[in-house]
Amino acid sequence: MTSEIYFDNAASTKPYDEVIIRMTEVLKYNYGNSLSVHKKGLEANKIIKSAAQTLADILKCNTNEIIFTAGGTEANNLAIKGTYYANKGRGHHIITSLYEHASIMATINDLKKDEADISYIKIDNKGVANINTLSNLITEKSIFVSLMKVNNEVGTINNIELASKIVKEKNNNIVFHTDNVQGFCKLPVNLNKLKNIDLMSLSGHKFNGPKGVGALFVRKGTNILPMMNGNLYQNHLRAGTLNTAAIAGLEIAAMISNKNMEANLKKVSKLNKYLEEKITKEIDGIKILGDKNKVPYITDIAFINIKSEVLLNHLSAIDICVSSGSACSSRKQTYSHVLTAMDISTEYIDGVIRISLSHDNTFEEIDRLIKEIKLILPMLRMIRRK
Amino acid sequence: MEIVLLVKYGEIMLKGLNRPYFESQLINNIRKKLDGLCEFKLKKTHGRIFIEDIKSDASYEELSLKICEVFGIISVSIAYKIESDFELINETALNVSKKAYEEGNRTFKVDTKRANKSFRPNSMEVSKLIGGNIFESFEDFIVDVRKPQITIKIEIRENTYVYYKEIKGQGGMPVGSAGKGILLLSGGIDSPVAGYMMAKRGLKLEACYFHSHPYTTEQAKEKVIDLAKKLAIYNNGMKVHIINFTTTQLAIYEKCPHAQLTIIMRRVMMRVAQQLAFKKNAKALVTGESLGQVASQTLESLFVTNSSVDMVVFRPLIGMDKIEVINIAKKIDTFDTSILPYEDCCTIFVAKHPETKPRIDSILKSEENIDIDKMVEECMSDYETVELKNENR
Repeated sequence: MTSEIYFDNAASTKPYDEVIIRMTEVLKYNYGNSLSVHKKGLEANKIIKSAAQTLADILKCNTNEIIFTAGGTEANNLAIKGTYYANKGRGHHIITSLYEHASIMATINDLKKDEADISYIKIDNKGVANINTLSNLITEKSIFVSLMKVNNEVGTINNIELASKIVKEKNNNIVFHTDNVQGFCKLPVNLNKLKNIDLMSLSGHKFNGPKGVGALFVRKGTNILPMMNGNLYQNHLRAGTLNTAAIAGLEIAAMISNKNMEANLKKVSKLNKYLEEKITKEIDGIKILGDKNKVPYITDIAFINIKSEVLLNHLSAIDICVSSGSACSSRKQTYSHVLTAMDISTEYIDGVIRISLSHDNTFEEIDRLIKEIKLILPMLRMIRRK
Repeated sequence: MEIVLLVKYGEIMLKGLNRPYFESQLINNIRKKLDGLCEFKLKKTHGRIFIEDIKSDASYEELSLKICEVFGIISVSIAYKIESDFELINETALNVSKKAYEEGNRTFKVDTKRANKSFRPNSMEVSKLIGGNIFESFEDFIVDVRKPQITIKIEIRENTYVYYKEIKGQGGMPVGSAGKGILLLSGGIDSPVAGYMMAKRGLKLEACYFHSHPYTTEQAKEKVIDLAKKLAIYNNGMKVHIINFTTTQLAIYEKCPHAQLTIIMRRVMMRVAQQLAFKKNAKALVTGESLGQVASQTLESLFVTNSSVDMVVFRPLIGMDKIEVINIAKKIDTFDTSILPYEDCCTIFVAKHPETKPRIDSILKSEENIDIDKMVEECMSDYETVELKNENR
């Protein structure tokens, strides 16, 4: 029996052992409410403060600029709605890209009911947002721009520094947000230098921390409102008791991931190079999607004339976990908005598989993946709808 | 005074000499339904089953609703069991009326049945006397013999039972009394409803599902099992036979004309299901087909599919509209599961333009390219069985 191979790290990662130990400890002993004034409350509060300090050190910002949330989706919701409702007196125009995460796309779309007017930055066929056009999209009525740093489906990197500079030079009142869920602890960020970035989202389970916890960086002075009702804490931006154990777990994960960032990047780059070269050499009819300038953690491979779901099912049955770039069923055919934005040709768009690596993966695992795909592919390509 | 559940059963009563067979099947099914829910004693008299000496954490209403899941039952009532003594009957009837009155009912009648013919006064007199007492005991509570809001029922047997509420059962025949059938269960809306309807006629079902990994997902398989769990409530548990169909499906795909893929696949599935039926000692197949619903359910297609097997095939939905089927699916709580989007993967095995009026000679000719006997044999040697218990909801 061969062991399980996990190549879906962009969806979620395995928590570090240290994270699990720390969380168990906090659950067991530090059960107080971090807002209570007694001893147990203070204990918990100390844990929260320490985690905020750790994130602030990594991001090079202040601790009171860190707002803990229940994950990336909440951070993105807070960033978008919070800014929109705080600033809509100045205008209703929002700019985002065509391939953001659903928590951005859907949230912005939802604001249409409150008169939001949306412009989209186009994506080129390499999967990079065309920020040259950004300047033309900005109007006097623009109040908010959201552009992701690393795309979750193809791994391409957007030049956030340049994008935010373009935005601020044109109109300094616009709030600039970046969804950095896929980039945090994988690529260095220095918010002390990136002065034009006002808001940044991150999520614990993408860097070997726990699920259900994330954070939003809110630069001091940003005009933003809370989105949940209740007793407001954390700079009056979020209501709700803090998840002490998850935040403690996130802190440990961030510490370890940040410390090993360079080494991990080096290792995963090697793995990725090996994967891309070997699979291109050994398997015909494939395309590696995305720009050269992408994180090595994510690789989208498009196979001609197959249904990615079938390949995924097959690999899953032999304990290899990957994800598919498109979903299909006999009732309806829907393609990922990212792939559509990238304009992939029809013979390829059904057959996109996403391999997302972590530092835990090995060359042997990649060998096995390629071997298994090679074995099954001829059959899958033979069976097509006629 | 003791509270008991009085179960009435219907169609079985019309049976002749074989009535005890149906009754004992019904009693078995009730026992299984209550297993683990309560301790009780069960007594049967003519047309009635009494659940007595109940010890349970569940309320009488909950237990009644559980019993109503058993096919063959007309109604369940929560009744007071007392000694057959007129004064006691009168007192209990007044208590029961008080409850009904407090619930807002303002018209009533008293209906007395007297299996114990030696009891005096007679049925008519009991109704009259007690009706009069009730009328006098409450303000504005009047008798209406035609359309009363409630009927106080008094059944005088060895003991006497007084009640006024009847929780309606589903009718039908006790599951198992009609023998066993194989249900071709897909993940759709129709087949679970078809299964429910045949179980209602007393057929004990085992389900078979055709799995085509990797072309169908694990989720699709899980979904079928979830549907079978819902059916298990009515079917006294359920066995689901999951047949590995990939090799067969690929062979059909390769060797048969594409416009005929679906119809030939269905013929092979019927053959496999029939073989499974032989093995499991089942005597019928059950499908969710409905005339004209899709290409494979035109009269011509049904004829061609049907002719692949000799066994009787029940298609209880054949004359129903989709909306009628959906209404039943909602009632038996399978609808929300059925509409989950884990379809058989993609559209690979579905021809773009399937034949809607296949001819048997042309299909038989196409089938010369494949070895159906061998396919059936292979399927029968490669299936797993999941056994679902009759779980309490």
